[in-house]
Amino acid sequence: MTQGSCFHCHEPIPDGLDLTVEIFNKPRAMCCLGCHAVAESIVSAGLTDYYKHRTDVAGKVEGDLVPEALKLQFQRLDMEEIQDEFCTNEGDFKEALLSLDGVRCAACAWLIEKHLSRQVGVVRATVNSSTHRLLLRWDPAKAALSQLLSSLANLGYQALPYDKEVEDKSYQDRKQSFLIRIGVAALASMQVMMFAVALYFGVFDMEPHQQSYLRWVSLLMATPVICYAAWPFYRSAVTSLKAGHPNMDVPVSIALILAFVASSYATIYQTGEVYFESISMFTFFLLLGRYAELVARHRGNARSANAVKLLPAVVHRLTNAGVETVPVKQVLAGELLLLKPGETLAVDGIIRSGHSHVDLSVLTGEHEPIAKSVGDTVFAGVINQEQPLEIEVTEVKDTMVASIVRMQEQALASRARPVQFADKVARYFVVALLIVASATATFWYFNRPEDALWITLAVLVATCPCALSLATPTAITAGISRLGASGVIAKTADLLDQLAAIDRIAFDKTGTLTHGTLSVSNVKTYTGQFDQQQVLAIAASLESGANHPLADAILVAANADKQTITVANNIELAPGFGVSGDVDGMAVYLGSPQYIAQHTSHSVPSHRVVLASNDAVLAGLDFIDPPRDDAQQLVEQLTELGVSAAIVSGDQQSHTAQLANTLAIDDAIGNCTPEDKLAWVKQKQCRGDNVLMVGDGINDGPVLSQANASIAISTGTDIAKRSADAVLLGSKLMPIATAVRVGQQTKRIIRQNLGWALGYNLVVLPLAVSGMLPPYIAVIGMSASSLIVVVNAMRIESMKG
Amino acid sequence: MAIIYVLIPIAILFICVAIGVFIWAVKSNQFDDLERHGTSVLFDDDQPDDKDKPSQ
Repeated sequence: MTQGSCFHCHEPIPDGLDLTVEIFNKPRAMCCLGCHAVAESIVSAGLTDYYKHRTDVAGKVEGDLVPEALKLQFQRLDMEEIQDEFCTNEGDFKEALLSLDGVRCAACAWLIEKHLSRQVGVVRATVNSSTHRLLLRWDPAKAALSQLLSSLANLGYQALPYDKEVEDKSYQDRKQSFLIRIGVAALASMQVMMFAVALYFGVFDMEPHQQSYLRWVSLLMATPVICYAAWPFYRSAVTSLKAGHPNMDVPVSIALILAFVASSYATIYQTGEVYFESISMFTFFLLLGRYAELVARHRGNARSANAVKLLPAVVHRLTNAGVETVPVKQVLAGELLLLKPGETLAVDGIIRSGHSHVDLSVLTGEHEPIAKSVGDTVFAGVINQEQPLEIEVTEVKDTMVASIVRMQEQALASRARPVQFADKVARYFVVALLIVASATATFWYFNRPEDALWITLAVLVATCPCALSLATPTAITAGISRLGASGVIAKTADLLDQLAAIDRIAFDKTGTLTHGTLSVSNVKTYTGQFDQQQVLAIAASLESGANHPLADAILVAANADKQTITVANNIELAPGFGVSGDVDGMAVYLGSPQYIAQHTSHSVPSHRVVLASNDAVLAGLDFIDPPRDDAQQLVEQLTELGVSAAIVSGDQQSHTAQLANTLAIDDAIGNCTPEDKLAWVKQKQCRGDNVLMVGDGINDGPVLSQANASIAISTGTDIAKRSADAVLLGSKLMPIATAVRVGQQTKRIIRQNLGWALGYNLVVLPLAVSGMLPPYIAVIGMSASSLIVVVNAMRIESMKG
Repeated sequence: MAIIYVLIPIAILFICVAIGVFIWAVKSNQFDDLERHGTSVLFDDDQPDDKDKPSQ
């Protein structure tokens, strides 16, 4: 933990704030009232163990712990008819599956369970820390659901009913059936292997009837493995054959069935060899590989699906008869809804009456309210901050939030180019393998008929291209999931491939490298009459009524707030130029140098804004748009990765160059039109560079599409986000460097995996064809190569940074 | 070696029971969250409520 950061959430502590909570016998600093309250309630409940064992920091607890809006939403959840939708009755108790916001690690799960189980009326609370779901069983006679949820919100966790429709039920079922198959295969294989050891080592002093007995029990134990556990492979093989594209399950199924039938034949007629242990083990390892792939693929999805849950389940519908409260599912497009202050909108719509500020943080991650009035489009998930709004519904189901979630799912589902390539290779490989296997069988049938079957089986098993077809998809899945965890939501699976090739990165300036908000950088006084603070105070009293970025910056610098400031008299505003008024009986002018030159006869120094009285120029003010905190660090890291950075901005050349200077970026191009930006990227691409563009504005749209890879800032415009290959969530820039690293690492891993898989297959094929490879070695070789590939891919997910 | 005619059926019986238990465990969602319960042993569930006493 660094000095000066919050003990609870590790965010920096604002200047002049002194909040502490005693944890582990030491006062610990807190960054805000929210974190303070949460930490205190954790300590007073005796749950400080949470801090000892957590592996990730907590989320910052913003402002009000339980805002009014949330309380209302909780209360509505107490209604019987709404509870019917998401609760099940278990005798006297009720049970609900809730999705949780704010869970970071296993310690959070423990904290929530402990906290809830101490509440009156809670029968059981179970938290799943990987899918962020809470299963709550409570006694409705003793506690209302809203009370329990509020008490949880006081700890900084938000729980709301989980929409059953969103839950991927089939995934749960598939996962369970895989687990059972794995369990059956594992337990049975262990038995069969023990018998195999007995048969192998005890074969000389064993009576024939005992040997026959051991073979029969092996057959008995192997039967469920072949007939039940291996079932998914047969099904997939049949499907792929029907589609005309034989996949790797075809040789797998042939090998399994052939070996089983031959071994059974040998058992029944007491001739030849049995290989029950090989086929059981083969099934077990194959299942393990498939299970790992399934789980990895799903993990990325589960968290994004939780975003949908934040929407309320009921809305207020406006009808001729008045306002009625109805479930969202009954609302149709075109109907009018009333959105009261503090409420969350559950649908997409257009404002038909009223104007208000709304919080778009669900979509953009920024909590700064945005003004919306009649005719503006609002999306599901926005929170109304001030005035009631009447909204015409345009979309109930396929809302913006839902489409963002889908975006990520599509990225995961879309097959990246390297995956398609690997699939194709594997397909030809399977066909070639089947031909080689038949040729081998024919050759040995004429030369050594008694061994022909087993040699063919060894060929089928050992050269099964499992590792080859797992090599790329597992790496891509792990890479996309790793990107999501660091806050970069990929829209296409190709992104990783493109990121790996990046050697040049271009940033937009305002809103991307900077926050897009101005602050006063320099106050230069020209008379001894007023000091800097006084100059700012005078400027602030002139600007108190104004509403533009420069005025906001002056007010912030003067440390003034709009309510308490002494407003200047006789204010005259010349929008876009300046303002004049009387402060303490003195006429003063504040504005651009041209504005001052027009109104006074002084020689005006060159500043962004100048303050003058009738007697003299009092002061000049300069402004900067400060870069984001981690912009410097980002540029350093990118340089280390061998990516050179550039700024391409529509802003003035001098401002652009100044920022480039601060951040140690060599290339700075200002005064760019969208066409200039496009031309710049094209020119670099002509030289053979691969460009990653990071931008946020409407004018970045074309260049984001043109660049080899592009990332849009989540607070940016819709156009930017739509044109980009990925969206960066949150206000930090460092995930961009992480994304480039993940891209490079993914490419490296794919190369290693393919190299290994191809190399292994090529080495083992001649051995198997020449009959030098017994089936059980073939099984071990094939399984090990698949497992190595999967485990290698998993390394991407555990990458740091 | 005649004993194997008794012991192996018993072993198979055990396996069947084990598979049964495993299926029950999977069906009751005990394998849903494997990250979580590995750390649960670290947490002291019965911490003394009296926090004024110096610990240890």
